[in-house]
Amino acid sequence: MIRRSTATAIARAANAIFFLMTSAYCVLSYSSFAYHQFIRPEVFAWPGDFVALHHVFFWLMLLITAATLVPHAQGARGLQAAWAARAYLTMSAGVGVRLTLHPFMENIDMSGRSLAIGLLALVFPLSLAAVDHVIARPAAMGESHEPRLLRACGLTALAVWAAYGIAAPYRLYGAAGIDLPLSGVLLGLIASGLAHLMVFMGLFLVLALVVGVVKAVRLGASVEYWALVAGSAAALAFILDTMAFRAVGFAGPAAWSAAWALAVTIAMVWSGVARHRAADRAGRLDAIDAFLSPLHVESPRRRNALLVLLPVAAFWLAAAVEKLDWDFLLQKLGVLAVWLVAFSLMCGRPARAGSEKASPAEDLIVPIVAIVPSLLAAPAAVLAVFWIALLGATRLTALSGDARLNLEFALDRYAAFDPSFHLLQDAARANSGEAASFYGYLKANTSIAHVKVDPIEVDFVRPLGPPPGERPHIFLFIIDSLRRDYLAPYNSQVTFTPEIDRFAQESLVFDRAFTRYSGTGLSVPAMWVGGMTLHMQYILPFTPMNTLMKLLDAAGYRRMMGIDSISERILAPTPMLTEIDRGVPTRNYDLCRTVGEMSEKLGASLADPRPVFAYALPQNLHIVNAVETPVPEGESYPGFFEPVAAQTRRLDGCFGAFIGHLKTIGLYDRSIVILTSDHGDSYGEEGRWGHAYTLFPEVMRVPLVIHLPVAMAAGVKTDLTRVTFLTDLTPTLYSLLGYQPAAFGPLYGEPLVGRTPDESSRRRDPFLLAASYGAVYGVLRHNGRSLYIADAVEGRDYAYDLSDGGLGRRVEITEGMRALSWGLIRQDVAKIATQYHFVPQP
Amino acid sequence: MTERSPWPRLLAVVVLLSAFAFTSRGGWRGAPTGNPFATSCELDPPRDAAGLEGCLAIFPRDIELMLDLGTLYEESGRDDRAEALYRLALSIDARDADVHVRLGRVLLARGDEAGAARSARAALAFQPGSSRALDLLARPERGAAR
Repeated sequence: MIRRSTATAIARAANAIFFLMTSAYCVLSYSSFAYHQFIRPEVFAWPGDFVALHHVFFWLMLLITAATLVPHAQGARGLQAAWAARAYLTMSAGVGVRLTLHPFMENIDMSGRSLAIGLLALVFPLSLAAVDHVIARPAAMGESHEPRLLRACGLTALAVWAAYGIAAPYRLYGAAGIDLPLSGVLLGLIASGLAHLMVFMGLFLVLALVVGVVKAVRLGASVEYWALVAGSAAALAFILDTMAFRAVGFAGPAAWSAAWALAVTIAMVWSGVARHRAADRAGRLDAIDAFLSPLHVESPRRRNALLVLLPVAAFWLAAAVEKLDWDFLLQKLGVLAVWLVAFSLMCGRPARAGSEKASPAEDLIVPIVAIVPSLLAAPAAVLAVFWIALLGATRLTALSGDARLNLEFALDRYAAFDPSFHLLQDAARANSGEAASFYGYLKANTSIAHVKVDPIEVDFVRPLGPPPGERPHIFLFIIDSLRRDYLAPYNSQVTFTPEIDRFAQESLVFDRAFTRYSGTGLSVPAMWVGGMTLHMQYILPFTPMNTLMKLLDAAGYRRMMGIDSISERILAPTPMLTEIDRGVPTRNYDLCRTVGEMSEKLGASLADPRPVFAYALPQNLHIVNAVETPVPEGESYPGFFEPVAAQTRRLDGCFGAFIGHLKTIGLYDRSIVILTSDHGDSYGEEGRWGHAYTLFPEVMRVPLVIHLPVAMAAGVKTDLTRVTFLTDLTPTLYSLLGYQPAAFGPLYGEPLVGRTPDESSRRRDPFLLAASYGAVYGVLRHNGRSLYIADAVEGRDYAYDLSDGGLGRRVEITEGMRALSWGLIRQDVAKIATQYHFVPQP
Repeated sequence: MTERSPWPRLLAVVVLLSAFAFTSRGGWRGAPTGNPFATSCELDPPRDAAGLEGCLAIFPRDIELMLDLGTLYEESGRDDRAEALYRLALSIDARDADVHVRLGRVLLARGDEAGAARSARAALAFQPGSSRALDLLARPERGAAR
């Protein structure tokens, strides 16, 4: 039989989740990044379903809530409670009717109205929490006791360390390409143990401070309780603002306000549920007991069972979300949930001493803690041990000379598989002085939104008349997330792309091609511009900067392309368009379907004398789609991420069939065919998945294969081993059509063919790289052989030696490298801002 | 039993908490390794052979340093050193067409026409139409024709 308080808690949780989702959807729509990259392109299907059925869910939640409130509305807990319950139900029913007649969620966009609605949605759970505080009588409470808090904090540290530490080696050795010796794993485990102890001792000190003040000033246990509620709201606001919102490019006063609103709502709902649950508990509770009541487990046997299951839950949570995670964000949020459950279980023992038998684990641990002569010496000892161990490990690493045992690299590798340690590692990172100023500057120039920026004119040729040369057909295939090492022309281990290999043998294969931006959102627009732009999605109208569109217009190309969520923003409508993939959501763009439709439409318009520009941005390999597509039975791809390899094989077949079709209808030898991708992806390298806002080598390297018409290919001059970018494509097309595109410097592209390769100065130029969705910048030097990454989101830097031509190896950062790279990045970011007359607000 | 005053304990907590807040900032992030000469190699590379050799000792995989030093060796007639340097560069990045051309040039100067032709062909595979590589291929033929 479920207790009434448990049923109420479940109902409140469901209600809160609904309104928090409503609020988060509206608030995140206000974020340029989240709106353009997740919500508008419908990367996931379920938000669309949620929006469509929002009013139905509203009524469902109201029914569930009403079931718990009706007895109170009838006066079961007095007049005040009755009026509170009636008022909530009446207000909700009124809004429900309005919502049914005029659903608003489908009209949510990037405007300030969405932000306001998102904040208003929180009125419901807040009001309900207020009602709960009226109808549930406060439990009798006493002040918490420091020894009990110390024991709970110490045991929680051990429990979560063990929960994640047990799973980490298993996950680590199950992953491909992680070079971490056993000594590195042990180093990680030790560091993780010490870090957990340190942080939970820190938590103990904070709690002890609260308890101490309450006792010293004789404020009473209810003040301690409300201090816990306020403290948890503040902690949650900090986590939401610095971890969750910043990870999706949402920062500034709006993000700060939304974080606080959400945090206060969650804390108040929690407190409301705690009131109900605490009222059902027998005896006098400590304030901490009352606060943790929503997670209270009465039975010691069940508590122990949950403790045993904690490592399983930790492993499952991490493994379930790692491939779809956004730079470990979901894993970190899962860690916080595990921490909370563990702390609640450790605090679960009622304040009445000696009423229960201690568990075997506690029997072991408590004496260890007890041998510390003074209560407060325990955290001091942990602090001292941590720093001694850290300094010792640093020195040992330097002496060993084994690069794999570099403390920072080893701990990073370990942390990738121990999300709890990862969270602590990131939380401990702080920058000041020059670093803080540099990262602050990058942030101020990134994900610019809600300010007016005027477009600038970019013209590679001015005035731009009809092309002096031939007008070949152009087929541009940008396969989202396609990695070059999954293609046979770049990797001899690949046996599943024979058609692309054949195509490459008839084409130019650029050896060191990179994207300028690590996400579609800016990578594709930069390709249309032929250069880097202000970090904004998007400066509108985009046409003045769109040099590729200008070329197509001037040369009279008819377009054959899908209007995806980016194209619809940056391309002006044109009567020259033959739309393909009409009605297909962007996330479902499938190369096989697209080339099938292209083939049909090409065949039907062969008599049209105008040249064709065909463009495709298929999403088959996007991590969201790839992980959902099963590997066909009987297929195996050892050494590769199988879902992607299997999809790549399928795409290879479709691409080959299309090339065959072009040959059959006689267009192949009169066409430029470009095969590339907008960025790569991480498939478990160092525990990373997807591309988020990282600039790691596997994300920045792209394939670039260009087939030229017979007439152009004869005597072509090019440099296949100089560093090239997607931004070079547009100037290359200008050049192939006979124009002489202007050289605008390293922030813009340059033709890849036509000029004598010996003249290329680009081999020595440094090039700016950037993430599309966060303040992460990089500089590529030494002809694509060295990559420096300045990650202002995480507040740290990385350096890679890419001279192996593959994914490279991480190297230590030197002072000179950092000074030079920061200078180059700052200089180029400033140049772009100046070009667009943008003045960053610090 | 008389209750002890909570103030000393509270004071101890405040002191420890302050120490915790102070020491936990900065974490275990590795600081960049510093060496003034190494820094100068990266920020303002030397132009003389001795300086470049010193930098190369610190950055043994820096192909640009090798090319700069190789140029100085070639200019001063130390082709054997230049050849060794270019071969080292190719062992790091075998697909660098520029290095293939330079190696071919040195080999030709040392009388190894076959080696120079091999290098030129390797360069042309990566730089179709390279006039320097084509010139390298043509020079022995021109010599034979004369």
